[in-house]
Amino acid sequence: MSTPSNGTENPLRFVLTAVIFVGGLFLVDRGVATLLDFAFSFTTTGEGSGQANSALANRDRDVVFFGSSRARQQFDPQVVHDEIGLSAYNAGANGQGLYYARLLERLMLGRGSSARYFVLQVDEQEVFGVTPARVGFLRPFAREEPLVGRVWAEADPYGLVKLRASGTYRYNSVFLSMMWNLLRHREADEDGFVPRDAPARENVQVAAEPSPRGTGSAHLPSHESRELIQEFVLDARRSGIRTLLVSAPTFVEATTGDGVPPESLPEREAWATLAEWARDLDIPYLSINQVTYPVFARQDLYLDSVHLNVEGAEILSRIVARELAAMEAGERAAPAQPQETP
Amino acid sequence: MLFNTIDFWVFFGGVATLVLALPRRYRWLLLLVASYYFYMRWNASYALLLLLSTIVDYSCGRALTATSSVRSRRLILLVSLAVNLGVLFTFKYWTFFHESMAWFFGRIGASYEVPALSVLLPVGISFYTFQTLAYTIDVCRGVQQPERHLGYFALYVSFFPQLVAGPIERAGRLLPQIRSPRAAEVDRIQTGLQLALWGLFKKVVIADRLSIYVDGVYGNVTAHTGLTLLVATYFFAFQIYCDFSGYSDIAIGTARVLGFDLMKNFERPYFACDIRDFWRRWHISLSTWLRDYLYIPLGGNRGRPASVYRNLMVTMLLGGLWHGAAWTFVAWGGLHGLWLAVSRATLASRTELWRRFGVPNVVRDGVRMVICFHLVCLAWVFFRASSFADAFYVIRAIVSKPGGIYVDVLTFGHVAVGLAVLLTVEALQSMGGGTIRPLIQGLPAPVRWAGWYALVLAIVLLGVESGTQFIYFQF
Repeated sequence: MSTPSNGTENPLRFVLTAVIFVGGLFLVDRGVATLLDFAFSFTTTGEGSGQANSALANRDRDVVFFGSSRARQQFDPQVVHDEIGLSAYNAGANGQGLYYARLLERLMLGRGSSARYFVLQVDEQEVFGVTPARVGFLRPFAREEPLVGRVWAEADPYGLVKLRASGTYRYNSVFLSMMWNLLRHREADEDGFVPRDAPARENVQVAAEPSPRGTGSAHLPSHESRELIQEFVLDARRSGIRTLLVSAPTFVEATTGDGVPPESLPEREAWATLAEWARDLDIPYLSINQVTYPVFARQDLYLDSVHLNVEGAEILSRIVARELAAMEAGERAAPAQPQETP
Repeated sequence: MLFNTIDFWVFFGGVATLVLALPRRYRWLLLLVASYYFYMRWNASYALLLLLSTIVDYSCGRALTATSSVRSRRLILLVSLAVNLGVLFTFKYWTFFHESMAWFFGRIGASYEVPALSVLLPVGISFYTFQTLAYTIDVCRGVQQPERHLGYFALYVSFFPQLVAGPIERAGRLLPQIRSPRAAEVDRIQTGLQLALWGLFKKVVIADRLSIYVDGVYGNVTAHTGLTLLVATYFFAFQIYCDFSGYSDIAIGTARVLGFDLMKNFERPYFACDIRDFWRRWHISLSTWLRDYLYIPLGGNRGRPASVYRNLMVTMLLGGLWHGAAWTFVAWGGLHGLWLAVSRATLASRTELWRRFGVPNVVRDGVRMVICFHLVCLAWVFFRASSFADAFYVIRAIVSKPGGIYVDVLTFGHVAVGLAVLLTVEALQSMGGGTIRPLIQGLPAPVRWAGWYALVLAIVLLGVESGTQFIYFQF
């Protein structure tokens, strides 16, 4: 049998050194992770870091919005407050899909949110398929909420192993963003709303993002998406929070006339599916599009095909506020399909 | 199984443990089984191509010893070349050839009815084909004894650390190590793991971060300004370097743990002062292969200057084509051929010019380094762009409409940290005659350990963990 040999070093000493090295690494990792936990708790800005802390800090507002950039840039809490007097916070985030929203909700509920309404904006493509994209941004909370780790394990088969083996791993790809935002001392947005009046400087990764037209070839509704929405709604309900499901407008150029998008459009399938899911879950669904609100056939309200400008966002926020008012008044027990334009 | 995945490290840990535990005489068998398993994890059926290449070149090697007839030897060599290059052509170049023919016949208005072939490019085919060809050519030339043991030869072709992206090893270097395995050495295990760790840092912290920006910009060149395209091109230069040299470091490091010395593949190429120097530092195993088996047989430096330039150009054009089945790769090789020819033609006058101006050496070398880097970057544009139209657009935009720059703060931050570490290490290597090992060993143990801990934590905190494929796997 071959034996590790070296003229100058004893192999047993090498093994011992290796064990000490690994042990030391474990301790260093845990020590650094503790420092990072401390630093992270003071970070309140940054998409990849403290933004979630801000959302969690505002978990007790009457209304909390969830969703992607189509929520973050389009739901104005101030409008909701002005319209119906409820305090609101926009916890949307760029790329916040159903997984991300679900985890953020769990964290809020875990910390005892006293919100009254959760407004969940669902992008059409997520009806046909979801990925745990950007869930990595919530890894710092993996110890607080075990579901974060379990979801992360769906994105990475070794996710749980890594989370257990390393404390610092929770800050992978978040670390620099966290330090940057911590050192900048920028105040967190008061209500999370980030209006845009010019097209965003698109992240260069945008080409890799799923098309808003859905990824499934046959546009089959995703069982996973339905389950995520169901868990979101039922968990909120258990905490006494009502959910409003919303799909924000998409500008469809190719219409059959009068600004009405064709029946075959994947978005229309998505809206119909969401309406069905909402019915099953007994929650209101606000499908806001060119069919239900012809005002959104106006191209000048859009920055691009899926993002509204400030004027469009205000109109959208008013529609949502009125729906919340209807819920508040007990007028909405079933999915809504309003036709009027505010 | 990629080097930057946990799967690989679990596999490697198991193999390394068994290698250290098993008697040395069985080591080749274990490594052969492990190598085929490694390859078959990607695509089991394509292991047959590896086997075919192995059997053909083993047989050709054996047959070459059985005859002294020049004609027979040439015929045997021809069989090896035909089979190896035939497989390479079929699996790597057929579609390219087919499309080029269809385009050509379309241009002249003729019909072209040859059917297309839809096959997956076998990972590492260019690498192991060149490795086996080198063996047969060396045996034919009489500079390499043919291997009698099929198992040893099969391991030479398939040795997993360098199977899919090199270094392209010569039989004279690797086969003796397979025949007479080294005893496991503590120092080799330690330095091998350290090198692999450094390679992993280069791959996941630098190359994969850079790729986020580069892929975004080069994926839609017309949407970006000249300045952004310039930055993306610089980034690509470092991305491909860190990706490939990172791979090579992991290959060399893991092989070292298993008791094998692989050849160095990179020698701080962006510190090169001219393009000839660059090719002595970049992908050394390929450049020396091209030199020994293509450039010198073509005539090399012998003959009239025009012949030498032709030899350079042919070698680099084929070197470009080796990288990928696309005209943009050929253009990349052609540009390097041109740079090499011009560099050779102007060497005397440039030397005289520097001498006349009396420029201090350090300034002269700095200027030459910057010029060389930009010539390499210009060629990288063709290497990275998905079409000639994109490549020319990039160059035009850089020259004529610089505009603003797209700054992705997060990526830039990661890249700044990664490149600062890389350039510091490489500058120290340059000052230390190519290695920083004595410098590291001279440090107190706590400082050394802190350095290694920092490297591990940097990988954990800053690395892209999606298991991104290595660029050279596609070649």
